[in-house]
Amino acid sequence: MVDFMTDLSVVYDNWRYLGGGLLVTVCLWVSAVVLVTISGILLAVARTYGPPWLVRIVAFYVDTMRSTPLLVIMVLAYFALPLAVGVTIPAFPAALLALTLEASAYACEIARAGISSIRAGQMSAGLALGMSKAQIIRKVILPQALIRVLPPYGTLVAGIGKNTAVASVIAVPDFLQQSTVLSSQTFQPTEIFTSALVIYFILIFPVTRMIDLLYRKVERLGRS
Amino acid sequence: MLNKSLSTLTAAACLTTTLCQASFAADVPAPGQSPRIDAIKASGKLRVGVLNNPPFLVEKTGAASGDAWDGPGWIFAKQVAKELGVTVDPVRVSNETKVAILNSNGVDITVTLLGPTPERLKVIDFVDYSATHQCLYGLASNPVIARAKTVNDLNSPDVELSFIIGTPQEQWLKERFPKAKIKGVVTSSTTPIEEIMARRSDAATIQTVQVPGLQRKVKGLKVFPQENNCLDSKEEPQTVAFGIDKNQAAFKKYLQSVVAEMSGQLKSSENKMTAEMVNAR
Repeated sequence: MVDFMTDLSVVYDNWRYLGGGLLVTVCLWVSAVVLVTISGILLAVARTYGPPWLVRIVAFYVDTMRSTPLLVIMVLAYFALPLAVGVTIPAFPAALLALTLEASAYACEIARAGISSIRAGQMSAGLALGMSKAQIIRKVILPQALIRVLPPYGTLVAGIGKNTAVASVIAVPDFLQQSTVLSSQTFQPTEIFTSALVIYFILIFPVTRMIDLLYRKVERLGRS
Repeated sequence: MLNKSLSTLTAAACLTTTLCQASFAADVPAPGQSPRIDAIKASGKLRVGVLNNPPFLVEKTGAASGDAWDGPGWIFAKQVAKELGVTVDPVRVSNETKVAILNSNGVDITVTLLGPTPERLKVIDFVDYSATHQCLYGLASNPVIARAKTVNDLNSPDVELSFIIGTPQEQWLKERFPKAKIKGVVTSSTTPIEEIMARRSDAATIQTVQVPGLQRKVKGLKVFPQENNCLDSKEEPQTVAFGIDKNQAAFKKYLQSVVAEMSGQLKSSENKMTAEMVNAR
C-alpha cells in the first residue's frame, strides 16, 4: 500500500527552492494584475467612447482573447513570436505578456459593464457644466464605475493568480514548476502538490477577501 | 636534489596540463566556421536548456549556495563554456519545450536527458554521450501487477501502460506491448509516477538508472524485469544525448569532440549522481 502524506519533510528541506518559485509566482501575479488593470480600463473606455473603427478593433481583440485558451497564447508568445519576427522573448516576459493579453479582455468587459451602469445623464450634466469628455470620464464616470465592479474584479484577480501556474509549461520557474521538479526528484507528488494547494490558497484567499472588504467600505460611493 | 626533482616534476606536470588544455581548446572551430559558436562568443553566454532529470542532470533544490545544477550535462556545459571563453546561462525548459526551444533559438544546447526519436531527428540533431535501458513499474498491490512475473506478462489487454508524451518510450511501448492499452501523459516529471499512485494506470516506464532512487522514496512497487531489481534490464536501449538545432555541422562536430575527450568524466559524474539518488534521504 502506498503511504499517503507521511513525509512532509521534503517540503521543509527544500523551502528555499520552493520559496524562490513562490517569489516568481507573486512577481508574475502582481505584474499581471497591474498591467491588466491599466489596459482593461483603457480598453473599456476605448470601446465605450471611442470612434467606430476603434470600437470594432477592441471588440475583435476582446472576442479573440476570450475564445483562446491561455496555454495556446502562452506557447505562441514563447515559440511562434521568435519564429515569426526573430525576437526571442525569455520565459517570464512571455508568460507575463500572455497573461496580460488574455486577462485584459476580461478586465475590459468588467470595466465596460461598470461604465455602462452609470446613467447617461451624468455625462450630459458634465458637458453642460463645461467639462470635457475626458474630464467627465476620469473624474465622474470611472470612479463610480470601478467601485461597482470590484466584486467581479476580485474574481479576475484570483483567476490571474491561479493562471500563473500555466506558466510552468514554458518552464517559468514559478511555484508550480519548482513543485513539479521537486516531485520528479523525490517521487513524492502527494505531499508536494497538497502543500502547493495550501500555499496557493494562503496566497490568493486573503487578496480576494480584502477586495471584498474594500467593496463593502466604498460601495456607497459607487451609487448614483 | 629532492627539491630539484620536485621542481622538475611540477614543471613537467604544468607543461603536460597546459599542452592538454591547448590540445583540448584546439578543437574549437576557427571564427567563421561555425555561426553558432561565433554567436555564442559574441554574446558571451552559452545558453543551455536545463530540466531536472537525474542522474544526467540534477537540480540541487536543497543547496543554499554554489552551482544550482550537477551531473554530466552540467559539467559538459561548463567545459564547453570554458573552452569558448563564455559563461553558462541556464535556461529552464520543460518536457514540452525542450526540443522546440532549440528551433526557436531559445538555447544553444539542451543538456537535459534527450533521446533520439524519428520525429525529433527531423527537427534537431543529437550529440550522444551515454545510454540507458527501460524498466516498467507498478503497484505491487495491483492484482494485474501482482500476477505478472515477466515483462511479457504486461502485454495483455487488461494492462494499461503510461509513458511521457514525446519520449522514445512511446514507440517502444506500442511495438513491445501491442495487446496492452497505452496512455501518454504530459508531465515535467521523469516518470509518470502520479498515474501509478492514483491507480489510473497499471504500469509506467522509467530509466533503469532511476529505479533505485524511485524505490527508495516510494514503497510498495514492483519492477520489471524483476531480475536484479531491473538493473540488468536490456529492454529498449536508449541513447542519451545533448540536443542542438539542425544544420550545424561544425558545432556538432566540435561538441562530439568534447564528449569524446570527457567520456570518463561524464560517466563518473553519472555514477556519482546515481549513487546520490540511492543514498538520498
